[in-house]
Amino acid sequence: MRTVVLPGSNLEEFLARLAVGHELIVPQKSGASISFAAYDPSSEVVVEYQRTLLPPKKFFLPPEEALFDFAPGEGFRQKPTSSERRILFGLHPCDIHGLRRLDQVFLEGYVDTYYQAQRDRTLIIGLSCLPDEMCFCNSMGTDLVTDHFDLFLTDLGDNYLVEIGSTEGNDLILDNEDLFAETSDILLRKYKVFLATRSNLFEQKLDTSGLSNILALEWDSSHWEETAKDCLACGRCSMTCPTCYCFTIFDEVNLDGASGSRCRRWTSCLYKNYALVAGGHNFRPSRGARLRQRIMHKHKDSVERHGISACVGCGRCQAHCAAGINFCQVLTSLRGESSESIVG
Amino acid sequence: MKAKPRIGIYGLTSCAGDQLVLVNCEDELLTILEAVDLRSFVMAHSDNPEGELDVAFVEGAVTQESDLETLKDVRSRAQILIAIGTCAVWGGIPYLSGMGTPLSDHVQVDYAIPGCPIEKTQLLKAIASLLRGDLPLSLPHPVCLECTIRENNCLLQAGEICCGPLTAGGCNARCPSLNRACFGCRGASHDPNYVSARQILEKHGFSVNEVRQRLALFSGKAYEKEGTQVG
Ligand code: SF4
Ligand code: SF4
Ligand code: SF4
Repeated sequence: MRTVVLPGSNLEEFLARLAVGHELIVPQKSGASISFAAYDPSSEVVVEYQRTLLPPKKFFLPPEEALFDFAPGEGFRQKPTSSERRILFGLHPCDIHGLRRLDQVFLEGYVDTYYQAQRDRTLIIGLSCLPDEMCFCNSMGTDLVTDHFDLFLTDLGDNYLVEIGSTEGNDLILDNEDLFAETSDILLRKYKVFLATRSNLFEQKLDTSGLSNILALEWDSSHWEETAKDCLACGRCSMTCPTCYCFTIFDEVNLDGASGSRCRRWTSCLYKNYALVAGGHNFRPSRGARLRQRIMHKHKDSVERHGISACVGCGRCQAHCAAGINFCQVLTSLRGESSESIVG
Repeated sequence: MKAKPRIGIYGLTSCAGDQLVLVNCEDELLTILEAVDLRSFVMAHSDNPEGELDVAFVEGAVTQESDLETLKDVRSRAQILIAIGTCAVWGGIPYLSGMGTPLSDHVQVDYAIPGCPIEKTQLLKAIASLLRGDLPLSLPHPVCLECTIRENNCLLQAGEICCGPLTAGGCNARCPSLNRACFGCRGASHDPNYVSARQILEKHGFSVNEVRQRLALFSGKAYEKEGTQVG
């Protein structure tokens, strides 16, 4: 992979230039949290941050969107999607892996054209980070990226080491060549030191070996209902998760009682009526069954279906849970329980 | 639904705030009045022929004999009865004082639009669905969904008595988005975990009484049903 160097002092200028001809999205302060939002010259771009409240999925699978309009006699009209080129700047490795997971769901097999249109128009510029006590991406193997980005910037103090991941990414460099320099041996050494230092900073750990097998065996564990006693079924863990993609579909009818739009909106498997079906049967009536669903889907079902866990270790679910549910701890105690039962 | 559904709008013991929301739909009112046959709406006109109805909207809690009579009469004449406002849906503030009960304690309620007052958008969507011949969709989520989508920091996590996780969504997280904890004015969500909420708040240092006062303010009925088990 070709690498170049962006002196830190040139970043501002680089972003300002990218904003010409692209819709540019950058991490910014919003109240007390960090949020991906549209860049304008007065934006204060935050380059050192832990995690945005909502992950970048909101740009590909919007929280609520109209899919098509309908009207008697006119049939269906699909909502047009913007084709303006867009750049998402500042995605951490976990969030880039999160997008890969969404791609597997929305682009492989049955293609979701709405998602595809958003994905096709977007370039990704990644940015390195340091973990806090909730991050466990290195346990999930998502602490580094080798593809699925156009450029990736690693902060090495005064300079960013820039990995180029696509020809379009390369074009961004060529168009702004005056801002970049060639890589030096010293920087490559600094890069290796950065990686080593970073991997020592993780406090939160998750042992994933055999995890999906263990989960399959612990289906009936009393742990689920026990943990779910605390769960508020608020859905915040799903909304903030970069790989939770469930949505509900409904019609929004106009006052003529005939025309309207078909829409979708994010939902969560933690909600009671998520598994409610016609006839009034609910196949996950208890909070324990629903919490189990969320964890099983991430760490077992996805492994079985896609060969890879759907959890990218970003830590959002546990960082934002008002009930203090820590998903790593839940998984660790399940593992503990199973090893005890083998010994016993 | 037939060309012009016959509609009646009634108030029991209440502040009439929910009926006012309809009157305040200035831009849409003419369209609505063209689409429906408004039979009875004491707040808006004086000539109210009472008879068979396709849809009845009823506001307020049942606090006295005359409320019950009105409710039963309306129910017997209406195909679909819709409770509007948290008093009608949960008993609201009158329930807390031991004086009022929700409509569903007395008659079958086909659909509920909670809120204190109700949200104009939800009312209009409900009317539109009815005109199309559907029962309106019930909103499946608590306030936290909309609150999180608006990328608000969590006030409950920050140690405030926020009723968001216990409260029916649909207000677009009006209060938390203004940095005010949710008071629960839209009534209980589908799945309120009062026991956990109480434990969280007690950990944050609130007394049992403070917590009860806030959590049970608008949906005392749900609080008593779900929240009285010892956590
Ligand atoms: S964020 Fe926590 S309380 Fe809310 S649904 Fe998820 S696990 Fe339950
Ligand atoms: S499950 Fe939690 S840690 Fe894993 S990707 Fe989702 S929000 Fe991040
Ligand atoms: S602030 Fe209140 S409504 Fe918002 S997520 Fe937290 S508990 Fe839910």
